[in-house]
Amino acid sequence: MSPTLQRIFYVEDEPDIQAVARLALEAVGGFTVEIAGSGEAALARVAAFQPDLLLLDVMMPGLDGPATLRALRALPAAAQLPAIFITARVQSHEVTELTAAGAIGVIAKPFDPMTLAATIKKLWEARR
Amino acid sequence: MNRPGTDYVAQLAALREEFRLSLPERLARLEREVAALPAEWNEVGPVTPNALSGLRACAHSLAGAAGTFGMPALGQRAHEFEILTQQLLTHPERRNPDTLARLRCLFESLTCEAGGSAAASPPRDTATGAQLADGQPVFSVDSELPPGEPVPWPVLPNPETPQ
Repeated sequence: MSPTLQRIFYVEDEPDIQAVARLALEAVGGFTVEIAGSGEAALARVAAFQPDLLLLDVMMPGLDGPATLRALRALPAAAQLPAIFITARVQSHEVTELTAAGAIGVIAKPFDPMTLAATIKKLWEARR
Repeated sequence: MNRPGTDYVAQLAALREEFRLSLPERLARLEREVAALPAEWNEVGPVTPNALSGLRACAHSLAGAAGTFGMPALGQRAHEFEILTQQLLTHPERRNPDTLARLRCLFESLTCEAGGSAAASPPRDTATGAQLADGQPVFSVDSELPPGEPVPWPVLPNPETPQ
């Protein structure tokens, strides 16, 4: 795992959100970002990208965010990767469930494109 | 972190404009989904869960995008609509003429809000060049959402509770 956060693998089915997040993470955060449009696509592509961090939407058709994370954890390439969920479901019990599923943090949607990268970086640094 | 330049702000504004221009088509799709619901909702037919799933997906997409593009009021209306459709999906016993009427009422509210957002020509923020809408900064530079901080969506009243 990289000691610094450079490569983010984002699983998100909404094209609008994909576009804004990519712009925010690349232009502001300076990260390299790969986006998969579904949990199934993530499973197929994560190993080739070799990310430092997984960023996952929660509500998606097919495999949802937690199911995607569970499936990714079964892959050697993603077994130990820190993961962050990004979702509108941020009531306290929902956040508890998501962190129990193995996430280092939960970011609320709608997110602020200007601060998304900084928020992710804080969570990355706080995980240690 | 890099300091976002004018190119970044312009690209964000372009994405927002693209979203704004897509609103009529999104609403038309939602309207078709609402129209596909049964006129009398006394029975749960096989079509109802599919129709509700489609509605929920449309509303979920709209809620997430609108909020991110600085249209919080529209995002909130869409979120309320999404919550009600989710409740009706998971609680079939709540599907009755009253909740159907409430769903249609929420759709009207959403349409009104979307019409305002789509027609709005927001002023320009002199500090960042970002557009403003709904009285809120579209892309706030100074505000920082603490990690995991819940967005204060209002809790919808239970449809079974008399208003």
